[in-house]
Amino acid sequence: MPANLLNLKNQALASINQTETPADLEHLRVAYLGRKGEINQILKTLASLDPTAKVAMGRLINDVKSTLETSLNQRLKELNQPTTAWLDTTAPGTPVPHGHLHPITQAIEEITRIFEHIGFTRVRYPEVDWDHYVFEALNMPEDHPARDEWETIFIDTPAHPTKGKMVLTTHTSNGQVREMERVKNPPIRMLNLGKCYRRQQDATHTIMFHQFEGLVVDKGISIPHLKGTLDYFGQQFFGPKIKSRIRPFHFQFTEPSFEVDFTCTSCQGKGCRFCKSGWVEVGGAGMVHPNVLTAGGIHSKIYSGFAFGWGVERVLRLKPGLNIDDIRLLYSTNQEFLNQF
Amino acid sequence: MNISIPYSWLKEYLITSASPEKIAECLSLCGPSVEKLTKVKNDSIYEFEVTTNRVDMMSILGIAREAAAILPQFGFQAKFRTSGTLPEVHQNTSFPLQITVDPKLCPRFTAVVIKNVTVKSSPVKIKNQLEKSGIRSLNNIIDISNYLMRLYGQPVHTFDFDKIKAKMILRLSRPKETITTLDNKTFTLPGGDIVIEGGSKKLIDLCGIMGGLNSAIDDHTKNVLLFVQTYDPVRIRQTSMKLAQRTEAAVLFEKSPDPEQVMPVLLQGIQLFKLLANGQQGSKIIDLYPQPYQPKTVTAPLQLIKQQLGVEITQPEVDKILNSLGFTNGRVPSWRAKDINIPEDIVEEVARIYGYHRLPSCLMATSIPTNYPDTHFDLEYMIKTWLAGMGLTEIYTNSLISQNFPNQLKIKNALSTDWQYLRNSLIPSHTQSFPAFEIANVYLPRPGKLPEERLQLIISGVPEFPKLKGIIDALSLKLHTIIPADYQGSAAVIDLLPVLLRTRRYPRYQPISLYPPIIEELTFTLPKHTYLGPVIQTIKTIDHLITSVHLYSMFENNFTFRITYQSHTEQLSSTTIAPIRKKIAANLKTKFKSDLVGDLR
Repeated sequence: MPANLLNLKNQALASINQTETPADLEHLRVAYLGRKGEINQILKTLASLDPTAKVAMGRLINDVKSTLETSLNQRLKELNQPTTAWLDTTAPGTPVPHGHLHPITQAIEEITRIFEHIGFTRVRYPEVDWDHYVFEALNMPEDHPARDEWETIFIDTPAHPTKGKMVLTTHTSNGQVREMERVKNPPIRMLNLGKCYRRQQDATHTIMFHQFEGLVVDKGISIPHLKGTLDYFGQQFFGPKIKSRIRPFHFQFTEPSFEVDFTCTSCQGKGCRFCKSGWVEVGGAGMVHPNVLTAGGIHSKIYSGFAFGWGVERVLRLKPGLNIDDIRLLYSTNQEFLNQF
Repeated sequence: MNISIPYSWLKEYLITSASPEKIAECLSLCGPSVEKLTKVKNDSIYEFEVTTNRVDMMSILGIAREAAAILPQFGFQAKFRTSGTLPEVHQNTSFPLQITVDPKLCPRFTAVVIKNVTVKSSPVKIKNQLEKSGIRSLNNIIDISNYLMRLYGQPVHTFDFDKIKAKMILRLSRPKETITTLDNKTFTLPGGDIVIEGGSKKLIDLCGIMGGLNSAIDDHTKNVLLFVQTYDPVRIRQTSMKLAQRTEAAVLFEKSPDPEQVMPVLLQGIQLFKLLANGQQGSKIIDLYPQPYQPKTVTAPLQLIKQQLGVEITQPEVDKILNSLGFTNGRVPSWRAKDINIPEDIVEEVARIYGYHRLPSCLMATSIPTNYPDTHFDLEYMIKTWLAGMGLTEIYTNSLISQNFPNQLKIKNALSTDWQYLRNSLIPSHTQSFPAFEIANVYLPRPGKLPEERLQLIISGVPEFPKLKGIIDALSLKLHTIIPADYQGSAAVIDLLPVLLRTRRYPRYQPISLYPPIIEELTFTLPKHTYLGPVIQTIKTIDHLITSVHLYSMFENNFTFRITYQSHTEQLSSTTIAPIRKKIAANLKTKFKSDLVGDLR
């Protein structure tokens, strides 16, 4: 019987190769593989075999069947091809579905991956939060002039008896004390990335935007560690030749506080029309204020830390080649914009 | 806060070899940031960004003092020249006003009468200095107060003395009292604002914000009351915010300028009146300062400084830096008293003057945390990638919407009617006509608590239902779990968190069978409006040999299902599956009143 099967296979393969039209090929398919075809005829004879032979034979028949199927499909492909050997590789391909990941998603993914490499864990904290986490615990009591910097949006709902008003988070820094409360004992290496809201809308600000917040707390964390982290991020995200620098600034929740610049990606720090000085400002950073550590239940004499919080839109715009002139486009459904990504 | 300062004026108090450009560069690295340096004829104008904690630098003197500390670190000679000797004053005359002051509202109250002034325009030099500082020159009297404010960072007010009518009561306003300020605007006060009532029982000053029109200097003013105070910063801020009057005086007063500087400003004022307006001191100086400034001491251990900076700095180096900023033996200078409270504040002063750019840069070598939160950002990203791969475009829409749907949080101070509510559904935001998706939170109010932020996936802009369903089906296969979706029009919405928690990263692997399957098609006539899902599910569960059931084709009420039978232990034949086939027909008959098309062998 195996010889029988082998003959059948060879005969079938030969016929398939000699076929000249798809219709003839279909006839062959029915003749060999159809319900009443040759293969099924042989299958019927299986019943008379002993179990071991049955298994072996079954496997052989299956092999033959799949060989024939492959060969049929292969020949069909050949027959369907243009008869000449000329192939125009410049002709357009058949379109396949291809959608678009939003640039913000791409930036978030890249930022997350960069920080994960140095041990940061991404977390998610409320986008609607109590004043306590957004301001008060960050060393910004009510009526503090420093609050002017944040164009806060308030929710029309009664205030919490101890945690104050309900607000849309103006920055991802609300994650600082929340993360301290979650982790309880350092080490902390947090990356909080989420939506924020401020009362402003123009070509460089949108009422809803994204921030990413880094927080590191442990024994002996110092300014050089912050500088190291900034340099690492800058080189990974903007390019290997990028440097960072920090300049004095003031935030209530960090002491000292810094403004962070990176060398301009379009002129590599030489100074150009876009950056003027060779540096571009990215956002704020600082060493965590002892009052914030205390508010998060962490002993400020034993532990120290640093934090930074920047706009995703901001760093995205500084990517080489991505000088998006109006960031409101990011939150539109403009396909001319979206289809570029 | 930003402040414009001309280089020429700064040079009067800063002796240095550094060029205007170098000053800008060095200060930006170690002190106030220079936003702009504009060249004008024979001069340059700086625009400094001064942080809210450094109201002392909102002045020529403050910037000069800071520059004198910073520039030597860059190898430039620099010396701070103080405002010079102040005039002798006589205190033998009386003070002609009856004054009542609440020291809680006004911790330091100083005033002096200047008599026989001539109101005229200021000399060109003063005019130029003011105009290059962004202040309009009006007349010599007003210019004196603005000159003092720019030089010292201390707001100064001048009243027409004869309009006050012998009496001043500094108190809190009562609700609905009104005042018309210098700029001819009338305000109805909310109450609790610091005001001064004059002899005619009318309000003559909205303290710390703007003077009253009824006591203003005019061309006929003969006698002036020169007025320099400090106020409760919180009250000034509240009034200024409530009335939306953000005058330069208010912006300075709400940040607590140095009370020790009040007297030098007043004395300098007396001198300027003599010089520019022929005015003579017409009364003794009144100075109500019941709780004078007490010097305080804040220090940082050298160890803390070394640890935070990561450099080997010595105590003498630290002391040199602190001395250059006005700190002596741990004693904080009065103009920094509000800002310097803890050792970390001292660390900042040392670090920034030493130069952040001189500190090393290295990654931390401490241990990496292991207590991760229960989040699934990578899965979210995978879902997004798959959906984009299926041809959908990802969009980000605003969480704030214009429509008032039931059970939504409302914004108290909406920027525009477009953004008045926090959405509780993604559907209203997805009005676009192309196939798109988004993963975002919706916000569901909970009484007394923060809203539930529910993570949802929406697929929208797919009007053909089978296509929409096909996307969800494909996603279910990828995530190895059933994904329940809420279909609304051309959109499907999925609660993502339960799916993320339930999904398996890998399937349960099924061994490949050694025996070929039998695949056949069965056609049934189903009554109108029969749900296909349960029909397919019924067929699937009839026998374990049925490994898959697909809808192969449909025509009118006839539905053809392609059924695959396969066993792991034997070769199936038409005979072995005959009973299963019969069972399928029987079950569909009883459950769905459906008839098999054709006969069973």
